[in-house]
Amino acid sequence: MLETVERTSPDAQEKAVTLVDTDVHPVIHSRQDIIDYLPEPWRSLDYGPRAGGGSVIARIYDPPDTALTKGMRTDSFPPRGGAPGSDPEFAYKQLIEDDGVDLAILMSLQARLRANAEQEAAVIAATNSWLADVWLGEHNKHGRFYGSIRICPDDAALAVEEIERWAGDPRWLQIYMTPETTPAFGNPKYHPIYAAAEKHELPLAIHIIRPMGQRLLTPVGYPAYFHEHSAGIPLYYASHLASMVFEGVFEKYPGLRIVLVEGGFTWLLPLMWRMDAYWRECKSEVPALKRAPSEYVRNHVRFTTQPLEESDLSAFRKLCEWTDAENMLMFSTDYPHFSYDDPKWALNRFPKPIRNKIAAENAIEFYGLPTTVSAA
Amino acid sequence: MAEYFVGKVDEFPPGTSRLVPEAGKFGVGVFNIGGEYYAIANYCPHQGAPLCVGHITGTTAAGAHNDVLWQRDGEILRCPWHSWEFDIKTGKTVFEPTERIRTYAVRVRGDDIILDTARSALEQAA
Repeated sequence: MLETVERTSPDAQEKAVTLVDTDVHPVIHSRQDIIDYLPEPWRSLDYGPRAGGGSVIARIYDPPDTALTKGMRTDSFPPRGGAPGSDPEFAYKQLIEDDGVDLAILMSLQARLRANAEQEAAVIAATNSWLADVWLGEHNKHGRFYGSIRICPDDAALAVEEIERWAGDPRWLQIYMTPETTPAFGNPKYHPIYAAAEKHELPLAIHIIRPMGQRLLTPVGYPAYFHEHSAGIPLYYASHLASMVFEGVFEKYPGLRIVLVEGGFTWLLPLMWRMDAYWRECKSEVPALKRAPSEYVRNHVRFTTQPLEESDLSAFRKLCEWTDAENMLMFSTDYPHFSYDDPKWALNRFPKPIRNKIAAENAIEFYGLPTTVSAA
Repeated sequence: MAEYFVGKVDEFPPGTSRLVPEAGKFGVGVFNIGGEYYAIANYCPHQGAPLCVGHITGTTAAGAHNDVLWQRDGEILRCPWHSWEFDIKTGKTVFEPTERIRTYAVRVRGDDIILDTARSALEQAA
């Protein structure tokens, strides 16, 4: 029998996209969700009879009262059970219905970092498959969720394979990788990833994950406290960004676009000042650069808002103006983590004339998102 | 309307709390700490979270030789979003008390616990 395609009038049923959330974190509901996606030998390693269930918890993630909160918004535990971010329907209720988010970009941190890049890439690939079937599949009939293709940056060949596996599927908006690694991202070992991103016209997002052991880096070693590490997160981003600029990544891949997620932006202006100053003083060290470093940043890099700095408001607004926040920033919540930013609170921190750009317009333009969604 | 029935005394033991959703602009949480009743607005001054659904807990103090001491168990409310700590008795933040939530008077009339949103806890104590 022929199926009837129901068509509704777009004018009556559509609403404008006025709020885009560029950082949402889904996880699995139970280990059964992921096992079938993970091939051997990795499946037995994580989920065999004597394995730890893929749990890699020896890391600093100890925000206040972790035993009670698990580091989450405590009102985000789904009523049907499971961890925060494990129930797509409840996430829809809290984000789309309660917060008024029109479109949400998912960045799953389900796959934790491993000592072995091949294993990490396998676990990441399994997570992408699960995300495609669950959050971007059966639970995305409303079309409000978009995905980020997670890759393991430490094995560029496997990363490119993973990008090729999904590229062209419109459910995925971007590629994404985690920054707790060495060497810095300007190094040629990562360049095949940038070539693939450019080839498929997919932005590449970078998002922290707080790994275990020696990879929980700061520029001076291992932090003692969660707060110490969290306050220093911008240092990862600043180090990688300076590396990409001075190694000529943006000259070599002029179509490459980078999104720095959850790393702040208030540090950007002084970094650009310093990069430009050194470039002028000794440009001969970096002959590949054709422009001032700040110009590459402004042309190629965007930043997400959460966690918004909580300084004095007039100082914050001055800094927004100097940094050109109007064009550099895209709104994010970090739902359901405890460092969540409420949209009303966060957007009100910005001067009124630039709020709509940060709330939605910049993301719509950057990612090529639809400007309306079904109002149902 | 400034008075709200919260519950019966024998149904509201120490260590428990109740939300009176119709009181105030965002609802009011009422807490029994060691037999005394305290009431605060269900609104975090940081980002507007429903404060009173947070965990009731304690807080730490620095001891000698880098010891960390646990104290005031049952008197501190943690915001459900960012874990800001509030002293339930005063409504003040545990960090440098520059932020505070509104407190309200609670009294016992016979077996009934009554929330009075026309007065603060401070006014009641005076």
